Amino acid sequence: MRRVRAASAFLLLCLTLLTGCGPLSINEQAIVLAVSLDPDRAGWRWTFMFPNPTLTPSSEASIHTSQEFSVLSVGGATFGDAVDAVQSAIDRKVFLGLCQVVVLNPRLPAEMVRRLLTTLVRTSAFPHRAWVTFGEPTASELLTTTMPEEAAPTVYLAAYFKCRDCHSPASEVRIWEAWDSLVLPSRTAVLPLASRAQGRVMVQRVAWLGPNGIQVLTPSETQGWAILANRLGQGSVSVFSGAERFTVRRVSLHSQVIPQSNGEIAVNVLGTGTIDEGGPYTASQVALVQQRVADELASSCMAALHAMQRNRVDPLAVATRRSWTDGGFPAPDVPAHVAVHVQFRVVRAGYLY
Amino acid sequence: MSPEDTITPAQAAMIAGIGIVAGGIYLWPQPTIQAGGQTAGWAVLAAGPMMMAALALWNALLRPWRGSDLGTVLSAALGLLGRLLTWWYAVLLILYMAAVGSLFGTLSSEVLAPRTPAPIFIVFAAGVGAWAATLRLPTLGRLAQLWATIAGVLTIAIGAVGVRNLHWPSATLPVIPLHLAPVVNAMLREVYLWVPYPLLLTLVRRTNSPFRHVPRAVWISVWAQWALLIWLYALTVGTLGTWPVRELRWPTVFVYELIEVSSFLITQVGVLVVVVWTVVFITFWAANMWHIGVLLRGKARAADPRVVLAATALSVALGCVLQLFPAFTTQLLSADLSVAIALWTATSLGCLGVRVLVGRRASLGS
Repeated sequence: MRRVRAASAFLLLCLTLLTGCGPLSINEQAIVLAVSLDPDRAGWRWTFMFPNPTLTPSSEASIHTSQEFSVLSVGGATFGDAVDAVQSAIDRKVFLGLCQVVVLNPRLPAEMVRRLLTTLVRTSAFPHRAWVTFGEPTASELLTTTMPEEAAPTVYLAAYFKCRDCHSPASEVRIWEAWDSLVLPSRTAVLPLASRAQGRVMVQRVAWLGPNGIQVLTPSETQGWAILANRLGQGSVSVFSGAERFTVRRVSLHSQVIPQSNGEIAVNVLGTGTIDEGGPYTASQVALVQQRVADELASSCMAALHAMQRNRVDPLAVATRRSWTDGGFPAPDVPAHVAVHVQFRVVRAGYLY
Repeated sequence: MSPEDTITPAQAAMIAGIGIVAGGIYLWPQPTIQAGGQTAGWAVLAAGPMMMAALALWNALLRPWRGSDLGTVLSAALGLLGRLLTWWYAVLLILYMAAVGSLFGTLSSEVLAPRTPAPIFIVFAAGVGAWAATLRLPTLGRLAQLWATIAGVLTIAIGAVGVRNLHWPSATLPVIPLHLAPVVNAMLREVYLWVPYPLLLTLVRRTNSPFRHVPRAVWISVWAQWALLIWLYALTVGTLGTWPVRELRWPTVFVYELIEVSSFLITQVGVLVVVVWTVVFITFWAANMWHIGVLLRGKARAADPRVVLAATALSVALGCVLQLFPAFTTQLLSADLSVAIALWTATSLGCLGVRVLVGRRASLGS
């Protein structure tokens, strides 16, 4: 009986001391929703985004979206310095555990981005599942651009990236994935580049973060990369056949990157799509459209492959894949020669079912 | 031993399962990959057969002697030498518990409650564990049955959701051709997984049907632990690739934290696994402290509470010191204790082998 009593007392003590709850209520914490990093004349400028502390469920419907968040910009040589600077500037405890997105300026030195990603992965208080993206014109401007459908506490960009199979190319990447790509032998991460166009924030291009710096791709190179990496999703391609413009929709592609032993990279792309509008079309018209689409896809693949050669990067993880089978830690694999072969078929055209 | 103090083979398997694998998973698979790189896959495949071979040898060599635990059997076979071997193992086990306890404390204070210092976790979990160790064996058996099932099912089911994150499935396949030196190196760095394995040899002697079913349940236990280790290896390496795993202190926890189920009440269900393994740690502590309590001052009914308390106090004190030196702890566990348990096994089996040979010659002579 005495032992049972002693044990119950001990368990009761555990129960009261190990509740797992922090002593801080949610009103005493400054919850970081997003972070951006820009180069600055004096060094680096970090912008932290918080939900507006005066926001309540009843006031949310009446206030403008731009007032749902508050931002704070600080300087700091490292992420830790920046967090300390933010902490000393506000009355609440900074909480990083719910950060949704990190926006980076593409003009940052690659080394800085690499170091930041490593720091974020090493910081156990930081969620490694947060999204990471480049943003222009500057990272902080992009972060503070509010969209009408934005509703605190979800940041617009996080909702944008979370929407699976919505965007083409599907370039969204999480912090741990970007870090992972940088540590693997290919040492190249592909990050989306979010920008403002017609008053909207959207992602139409990507940037490569490799050993030789950061390269922002053109839209055509981005499309080529997406095809090669099987990240195109469900896109559409417009081509001119004669004077008529055809839009092939629901383009679904499967590409295979085959590194050859002589340093060449051979790419096979198989794809299908539909033409929903107009018609009826003759077989020769459809054949011509198929040829044009195949040419268009091949030329964007070539553009991406040439960009890889020019910048000496390995975004297709050729070296990484090679390391699984031969066990070594090879240098990033840059193709010496490239060859692309595209086969495209229109499975449904106009009224022909 | 009265019949109500024995356990079923399934309970023995579950106690052994928790008592062994729950300590090994903390660093897993980091040390093996650190040593073997891309060849670590071979070492992972060898982990199970390695243990089964050792068990088969023990089984064969211990057959002539009876006893209620490994300590009494060793004494019966080797006399004072057996007693020494038992003490040697107890010291190893206390060091091992201290290292695992410090890892558990560090992990909890990093992942579960960042503002709570590690020693608090070690003291409380080990305290509850030590109390459970003084319970009668069937009670411990039921505890293990409950938590081994919950932890096993949750770990595998939630991990299965993480298959979406498998970016590098081909990284999990072992490299061909096989180079022996790195594989042996990687194997040496994973022996620590099995440090508490003599628990199996004691539990075998506490089941209600010692001659027929027990070996099968024990084999299944080793098989299941091996399967869990392979699963965690595949999930970790398949998600991150081999090289990044070397840069992480808790690769498995890292990978489980990435698992997200948005339609679930808690979005980060992977953290649930971490919480469940906290409870499993208590059962792990109980199983091994029970073993020390039986080995050093064996009684038929239960482990000696004073031995359990002393061993726990020693392990906790050491663990609280070790958590200040994380690099040293990792080295102690994955390298030094791996070598130490291998040496202990080799010495014990060697002595037993000589004893069996001498016994056979004596019986032939008479």
